[in-house]
This record gives sequence, structure tokens and C-alpha cells, in this order.
Amino acid sequence: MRVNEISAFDIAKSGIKAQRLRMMIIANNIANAETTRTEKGGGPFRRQVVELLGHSIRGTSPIGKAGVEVKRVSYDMSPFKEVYEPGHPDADENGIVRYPNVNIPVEMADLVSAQRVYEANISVLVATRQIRQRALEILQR
Amino acid sequence: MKMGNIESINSIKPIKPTVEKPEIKPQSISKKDETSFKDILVEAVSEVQKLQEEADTTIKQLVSGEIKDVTEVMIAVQKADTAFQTLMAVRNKVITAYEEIMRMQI
Amino acid sequence: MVTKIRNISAEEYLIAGLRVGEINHKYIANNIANADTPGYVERNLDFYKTLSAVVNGRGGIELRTSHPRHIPYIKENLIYEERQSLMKNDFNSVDIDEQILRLSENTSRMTVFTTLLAKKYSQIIGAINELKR
Repeated sequence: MRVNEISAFDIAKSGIKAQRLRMMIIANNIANAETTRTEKGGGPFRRQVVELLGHSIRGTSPIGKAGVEVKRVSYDMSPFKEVYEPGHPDADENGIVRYPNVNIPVEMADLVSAQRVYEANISVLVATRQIRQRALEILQR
Repeated sequence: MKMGNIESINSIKPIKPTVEKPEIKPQSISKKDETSFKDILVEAVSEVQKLQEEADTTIKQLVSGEIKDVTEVMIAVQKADTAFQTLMAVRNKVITAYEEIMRMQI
Repeated sequence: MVTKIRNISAEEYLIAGLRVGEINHKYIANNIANADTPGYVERNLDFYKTLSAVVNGRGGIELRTSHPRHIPYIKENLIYEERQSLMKNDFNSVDIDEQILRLSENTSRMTVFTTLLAKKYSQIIGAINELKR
């Protein structure tokens, strides 16, 4: 994307949208960290991840996008945790209960990271507005 | 009709103006004084110009990163601006005075 | 370095500074938006080097637009560095704290330049008004 064809607002907005979704997905993972049974007999809750696609801005590349976008929300296919809990209602014939493949410390770290990036994008928004308002002053004198 | 009084008309002295007609040309004053008004004005203009150039240089230095002190630039710009405003005020006063004087004649 | 300051006006200097600053702003914004995008390569514009290139007429942005399109176009050789990640265990390189600092610095620079430019313009207009009297 040519530099003078994008706006910093759009770049920051893309970042904000992406991080908001990420935070929602992470929060959902955390909330469901112990969910051993999902609807329609679907087994334990499976961790979700947000796949991001980033764009670069260059001087003279053809028109495209800038900032970041969400490629898709996908499932983490790593194996479920298996815990020996014979009394559990969702235990199988061997007394093993399968728990979601959610690792709380990892989710927390991701959440903090997403939050920081989210806030940084907000700063970009604020800074952009500040610059533009000052630019208008040139006309107002 | 007393004809004898006609001669006395010639003896009436011409009316002298109560205010001296002021000299507009500064050159004539400079013959008497050390620095004329014109000199002062010329010096003031070159001073303003000098300050402007100095302010412009600090601006260029700030943009190119040679100096990082914004305050220094702001002060230089303000100084130049004040000098310019002062010059303008003086110029306007001179013009107003001149116009007033021109109106006084005849 | 004074000798490198070419004989262009302070106003043109400020405009160049603002144009480079605007581009810098977008690079920083893009880095921040992609702060945790896997595989993203951070790009940091060197403000002063790019400005110097612009002012001295080498690449960067066109300063004077004698071109019919009055939008400045960007030539290839903007001076930036690309940061490859060595430290972080994920595949992304952006140091967000540094980017936030750069954002703050650049924004401050832009507002200062804008204020100075506005002052210059108001002086010119003021002088014109005086001459009208």
C-alpha cells in the first residue's frame, strides 16, 4: 500500500479490532478451561486461537491493505488433558476425564499481551487525532 | 467715502502662520543632528531582518535535528515577531502622522 | 552540519519535516497494529536521515511539487531499518515499548513543526494586512 494512500486511523482501527477479538477469544478460553462437556455431546471444550495476517506499508508497492487483519479463528488441535477422575460424570470407562487443552498461565500471558497492544493502538488513534487537529490550526489563523 | 484709507490697506502685514510648517524631508534635519530619523528606521529594519534570519536558522536546525531545544526556537521566533510588530507599529504611527500633517496644509 | 543546511526556506524545511513525520507516523502505527502478528517484520524509519535525504534532493519524498499531481509521492529509498527478531521466542519482532516511545516522540515533533509553520503563515498574512492599510 502506498504510504500516502492509507490513513493512520485505519491502521490503528485494524489493530484495535484484531486485539479486541483476540481478547474475547482468550477470555472465552479461560472461562471454559474446565468445560468437559460441550453441546451436542461434543466432548471437552477445545481451545481457540486467532490467526492474524499482517500487512506492510512500503513506498511504492501496489495498492493493498495496511495494518493487520484476522485471517480466521481456528481450533488448537493439540491433545486434551487426560486426568484420572473415576467419580466424574464425564469419565470414560477407564475413569479418565478429558479436560480442555487450555493452559491458564499461557492464556493469561496472551491476554496481557493483547491488552497492551490494544492500548498501544488506542494511543495511535489519539496521537493521530492530535496531529490532525494541530494541522487544522494552520488554516484557522 | 474716505479715499485716504486705501493706502493703509497696503500697510497691513501678511498673516504669519502660528505653527511652523514642519519639515517632511529628513535629509534637511540630518544636517543638524547626528542620526536622522531615516537612519534609525533603516537600522530598525535591518535589525528585524537579522532577527528573522536567526529565527529561520534555528527552525531549520530544529527540523534537521541539529538542535533539540524547542524553547530556544520559540524564543527566537517570538523575538523576531515582536521586533517586526514594533516596526509595523512605528511605521503606522509615522504614516498616520504624515497623513495628519498633509491634511493640515491649506 | 550547518553547511549541509541548503538554501531553502524555513517554511520548506518545516513542510519537509511534516511530510517525513507523517510517513513515520504511519510506519509506527503499522508496527503497533502488528505488534503480535506472527512473522511480521518491523520497519523503523530513520527520521533525520530521511529528512536530510529529502532536503538535499536525494530520494525520499519530493519536496517541491512541480509535478502536476500535487500529492507528494514516495520514492523507494526511504531510509529505514528492518528488525529481525532474535530474542523473542515467538516469531514476531516488534518491541511495543519502543514503538510507543517512537510514537510519542514523533507526535511531539509533528505538533511543534505545525505550530511553527502556523506562526510563519500568520506572520506572512499579518505582513500582507499591514501593507493593505
